[in-house]
Amino acid sequence: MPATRAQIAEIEQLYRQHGPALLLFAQAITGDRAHAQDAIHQVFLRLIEDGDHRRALDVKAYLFACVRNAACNYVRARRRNVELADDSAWFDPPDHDHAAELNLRRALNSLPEDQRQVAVLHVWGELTFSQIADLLEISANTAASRYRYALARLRDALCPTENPCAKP
Amino acid sequence: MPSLDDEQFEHQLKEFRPLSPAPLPTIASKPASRRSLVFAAWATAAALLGVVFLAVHSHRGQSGHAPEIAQSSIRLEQLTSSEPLTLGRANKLLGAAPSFKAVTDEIAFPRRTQPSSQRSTSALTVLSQEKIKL
Repeated sequence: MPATRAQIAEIEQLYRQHGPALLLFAQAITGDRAHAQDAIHQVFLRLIEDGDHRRALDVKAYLFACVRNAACNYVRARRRNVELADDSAWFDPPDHDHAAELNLRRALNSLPEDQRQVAVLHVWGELTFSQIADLLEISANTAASRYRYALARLRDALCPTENPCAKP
Repeated sequence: MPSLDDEQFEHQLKEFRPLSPAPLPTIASKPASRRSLVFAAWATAAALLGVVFLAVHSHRGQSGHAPEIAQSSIRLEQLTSSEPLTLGRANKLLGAAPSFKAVTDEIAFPRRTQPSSQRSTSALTVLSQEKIKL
């Protein structure tokens, strides 16, 4: 059943609220912005058509799950390993430090896909390990463990000397 | 549990804010199309009003021109009637005439200003005064 005007307004609000993190998560799966964008548009347009999100207990986790499915469908359709595109930015860096943004993107690129997804979901998606576990169909401990590995590798990539990332 | 360093590093990572996606096609287009429909309706109404106004105005203009032209030609006749043509009179004629051609026509071919009824009366008077013997 198509969404009413009030439901569309609600979906717009969800899009504004979670869109950036969902886009980043889709980019972490597809490797490029254009297809990530297509994936989240596909998800939200389907929500407008069906209004399925109203039945979800945890709307935010539901959105991430939908985006993951759409992005994975795209990857499966390509039937090859995804290489993350290096040309388009993923983040708005602090102090317009675009070199740092590129380093972060490359560091994320260097992670195995399962760790990258967990890192993005926890840091920028702000999902708990329990939510991530439900979403990726793994245990919460596995999610936490993947996150720790991911964080260590990111730190090694971004802060190669003795912990210069730590604030004084 | 993540250590304090992990939390600090996580906080630093969060300072990199993910970019916003492009607006949804329906969100971007739906209100715009509604707005454009309203605009089109108003524009059509304004155009119709304009056409009606122009039609009325032009109709009035046509009907209002005739007396003006007639009035100016009467004035012209008065000016060209009897006096000889001088520079001053020519200026007056040009000022009063609707066009330069009207002035030249009026000077070249002056109209007879006497009403026909007056002329017929005078002819009858002349005939009645004549004593014709049959």
